[in-house]
Amino acid sequence: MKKNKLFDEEFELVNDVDEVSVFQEKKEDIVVKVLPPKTRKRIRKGEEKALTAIYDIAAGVCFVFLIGVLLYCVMFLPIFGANKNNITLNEIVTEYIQNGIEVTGATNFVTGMILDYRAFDTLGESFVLFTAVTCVMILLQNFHDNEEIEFEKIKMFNDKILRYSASFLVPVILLLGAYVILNGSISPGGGFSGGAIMGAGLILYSLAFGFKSTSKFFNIKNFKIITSTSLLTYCLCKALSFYTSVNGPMIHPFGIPGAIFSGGFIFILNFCVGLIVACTMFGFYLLFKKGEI
Amino acid sequence: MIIFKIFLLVILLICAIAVAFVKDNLAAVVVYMSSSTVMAVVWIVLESPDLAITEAAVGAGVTSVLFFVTLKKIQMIDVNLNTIDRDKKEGDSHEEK
Repeated sequence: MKKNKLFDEEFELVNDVDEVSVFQEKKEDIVVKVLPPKTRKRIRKGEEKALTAIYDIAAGVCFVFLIGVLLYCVMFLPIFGANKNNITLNEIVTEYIQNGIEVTGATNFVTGMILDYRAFDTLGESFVLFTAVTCVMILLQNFHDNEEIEFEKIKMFNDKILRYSASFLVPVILLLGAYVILNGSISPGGGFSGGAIMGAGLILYSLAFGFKSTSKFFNIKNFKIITSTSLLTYCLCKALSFYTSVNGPMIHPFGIPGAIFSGGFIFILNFCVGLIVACTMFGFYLLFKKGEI
Repeated sequence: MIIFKIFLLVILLICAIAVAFVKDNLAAVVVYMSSSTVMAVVWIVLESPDLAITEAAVGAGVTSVLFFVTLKKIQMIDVNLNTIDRDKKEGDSHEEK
């Protein structure tokens, strides 16, 4: 009963609208009288200066604090190479170094590591690229024909220096990309880097010669077919190698330096990853510039 | 070799700091490109050519092109090359003063 009484009293206080409104009006009067516009501006400028100084100091303190925390964390790491008696670490490392090239068939062991022992990581990366392209397509796709695109086309065709230099550079860049992708199991490189090089070459080609020249071989249809088939072949190859041995049913001498096909599955996987990366890089560019693939 | 390494690292530091202090967005992207090319050389010095190829292709090539395209799309770069004219006008006005 006491509580109810208290509530009633509060409600009564709030319901007295006239008193509250009168109080507010009085307040506004006071504000207008005390602070005319000129003095207000002066005070605001001073406040802004003070605030910016405070922000600078706070940012510096946060910066120093973060660096301190990170350096403090680094102190807890074991010294590099000091933990030689750790059995599990040594077993894995010696297994990888001694038998890695024979097992995976990749003379360049970095790609052997990426595409065999850590193949699931690479699959995730290529799926991330694929989903990124689909998200960009959702966000930036033009559903209407813009006049600006045609204007840009005309401008591109007028640039003679770019066209002349591109006619020399593009075939070289594309050949280098193909070489890096196909020789990924033997020489430094691999699917991702070679695909990025090929994508850059395609971007240069479309910059120099316009969108029409690339749209002959790079449609949305071809993009879908290439990316989905290469992702599926990657998945199938890795699924096979989960059930059989690393290189599956392929019977071939593995790990011979200089022989491309001694890579086994890694040759195919490199090819798939390279195609995906090249298509996505060029697709990003087309979506940003043109609004559609 | 040690002098070369120190030289590369100093250039890398200068580029990394300069990106934050450059006011023009286009210049900032160019500085970013140069920092990633220097980083590619550093990867080769550290005996990891795989990473060097990727850094040169992705860092200096594709991402910077995407940056340029986005800057053009947000209209930070004028399409009609008005920036050169503006710079000339500003330079003239400074000379007059």
